[in-house]
Amino acid sequence: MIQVENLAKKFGSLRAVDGISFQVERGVLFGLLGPNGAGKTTTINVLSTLLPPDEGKVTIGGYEVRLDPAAVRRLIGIVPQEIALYQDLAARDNLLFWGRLYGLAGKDLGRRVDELLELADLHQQAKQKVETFSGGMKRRLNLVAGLVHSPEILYLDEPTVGIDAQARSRILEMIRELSNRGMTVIYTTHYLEEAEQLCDRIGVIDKGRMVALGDKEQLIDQVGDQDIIRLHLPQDAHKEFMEDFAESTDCLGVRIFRGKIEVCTVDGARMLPGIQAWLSSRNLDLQQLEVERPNLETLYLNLTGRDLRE
Amino acid sequence: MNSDLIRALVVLRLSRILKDRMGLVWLLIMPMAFSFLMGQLLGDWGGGSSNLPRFMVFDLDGGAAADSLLVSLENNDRFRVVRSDTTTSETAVLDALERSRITAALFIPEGFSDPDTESNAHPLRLFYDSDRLSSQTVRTLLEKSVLKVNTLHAAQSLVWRDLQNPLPTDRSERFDSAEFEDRWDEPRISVTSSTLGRVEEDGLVLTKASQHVGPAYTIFFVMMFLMTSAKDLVTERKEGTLARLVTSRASSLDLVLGFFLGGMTVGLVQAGTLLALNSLAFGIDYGTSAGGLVLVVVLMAGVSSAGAVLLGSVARSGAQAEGLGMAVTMIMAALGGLWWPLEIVPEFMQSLGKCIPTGQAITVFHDMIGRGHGIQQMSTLFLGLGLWFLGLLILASWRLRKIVA
Ligand SMILES: Nc1ncnc2c1ncn2[C@@H]1O[C@H](COP(=O)(O)OP(=O)(O)O)[C@@H](O)[C@H]1O
Ligand SMILES: [Mg+2]
Repeated sequence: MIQVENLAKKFGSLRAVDGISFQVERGVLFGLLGPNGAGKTTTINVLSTLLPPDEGKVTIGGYEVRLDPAAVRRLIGIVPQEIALYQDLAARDNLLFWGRLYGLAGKDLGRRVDELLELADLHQQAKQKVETFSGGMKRRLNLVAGLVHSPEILYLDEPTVGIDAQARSRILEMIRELSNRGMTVIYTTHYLEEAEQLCDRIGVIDKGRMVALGDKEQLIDQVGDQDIIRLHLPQDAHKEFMEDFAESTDCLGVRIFRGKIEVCTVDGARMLPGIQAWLSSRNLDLQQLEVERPNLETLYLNLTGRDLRE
Repeated sequence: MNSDLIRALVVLRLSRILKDRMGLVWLLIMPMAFSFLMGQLLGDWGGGSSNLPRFMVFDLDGGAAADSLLVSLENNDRFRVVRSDTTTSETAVLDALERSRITAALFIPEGFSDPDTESNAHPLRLFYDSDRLSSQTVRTLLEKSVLKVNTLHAAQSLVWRDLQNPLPTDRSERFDSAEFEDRWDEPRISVTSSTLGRVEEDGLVLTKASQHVGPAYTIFFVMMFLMTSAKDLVTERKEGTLARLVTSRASSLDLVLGFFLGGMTVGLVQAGTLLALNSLAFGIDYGTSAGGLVLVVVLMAGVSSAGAVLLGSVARSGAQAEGLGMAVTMIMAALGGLWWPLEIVPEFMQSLGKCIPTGQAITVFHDMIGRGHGIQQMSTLFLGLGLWFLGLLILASWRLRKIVA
């Protein structure tokens, strides 16, 4: 359904998207995961025909975005990162307007708008101005406004930013439901849990590059059976610790990350006694120690050296 | 091009504006308040307590025919007939006319009413100002009255002849048109009119301030409202509604036209309402050229709307668009002579003012109201406005299409 090959997009000298490739099959819920500024919105904008690609080829439903943007636009619905609604108009009037702009009219339009208000659970607030809505209500309306013309493909750009957990889980439910009905969805987020919880396939994007791609299990397999041991030590002990352990057989790597030592190891349990012995021989207290099983977050850390929550 | 989509965009714009109470204040209430206040402050420009222009009549005859002519002239609401019995020199009359103290002057010569004198022996003499609408009106009405008197006279003399001769049996022969035309060739009275003979009058031709401030504040607030609304287009760009519009069925041409025509419709509604209210409230007469009035309003709304689309497409933020829109409008208003008439500024600034759309539009209004000009006499001004309109529209479409293509 969606093919992206070596897509690149520059803004001046900044390569906002730097040669990414991925495919999304029909009916799949694809998550594009990455921190702020990773290039998610830029990617979505190219896929929506809003920005022309500088390099590479993007095909949506068989149409190339550069050559046949009008055909692509008929297939897609977009839910922009911002609340793309007229805040001074009522919810219903917004949907009526977008319906008209997407080619609906008459009874079909009215029926579709009622359906969508129902779907967003806003039929009782249909006559209220959007500006009076809570964050969650606005986000729900923003979502269904992308559905007026019943598109086959839906792009959701961070549709849960800035709302509380409860409102967020309602949005996720709606998306799950749309996906179950067979819609192809691209979902961007910088929340790891959302991607893990919601998506069939995930692409991890950072600084415009696709650093990992696959379904959830595949991604975790990439991390293999590694464990991460994190410990807090006084500054002056860092150098010595790293020198002593870098050569140890179990250790795959040591680094200092955000003031903590991180040891990457095949088996955390086997390494711990050695570390404890090292500490007590130097009269150092163990201030904090964690052992982490692999998950997407570790993967992300390993790949980019950055925490998603930054 | 899809007219349904364009209409949806125009309707959206109008309905959003109508829902905004504060918007209505800037749309109609402020401009009317300004017109009223400034009209009161600046008051009369033409002198005289009556608002009607004065038509001075020097009746040197005082006979019955002169009286009946005057009665028919007095029966109008466009000017006030002032009879003056003092003998006066032509130079004094011309001077009063020149200084707009009177709108026209009529001399009724001695012997005018004497029935025994030959036809046409004592022509009426009219002094008027061909540049002034009120003066032209006087001339037209006088000529109508004269025509009436002459028709009556010709007809009467035929009837008189009939009464002296026995009536012919065939009724159709009673009226001999050839004979009527003979009589017609020798009219009872005639007018010789002299105009001031100026080619173009440069001075201010308006008689009261509201004739200037009414149209001036209409132009100003139409421009102000549209130019500051450029921020809405920036908001659409920033908040994703434009992205949605671009991915909708609307083509880039539809979007450009939708935004432009939306603004233009707002401008037309606003200008139409303000001009009508001004006319009702302050008795402003926009002259005789309906075509000129429509054209200037359309071009003015078009220029403002195209300017706003251009500004909304290039501004980096809503605040920048609003500030720039306000600044541009203020400068254009000052240079174009909306605050004060261009006629009173130095010649160089007058020429400059007539190169920008505000100056062109207000000059059109002055010419229509004060001089009774039509489209042809104002063709240079309309050409200027038209060029601004086209230039801005092309520039605005180009910039906006770069964003929405
Ligand atoms: N229109 C633009 N002009 C210049 N730089 C931009 C523009 N849009 C995005 N960028 C830059 O491109 C990078 C990627 O941005 P974006 O795609 O919005 O990231 P994300 O959506 O993942 O947060 C950022 O560094 C951002 O500053
Ligand atoms: Mg983004």
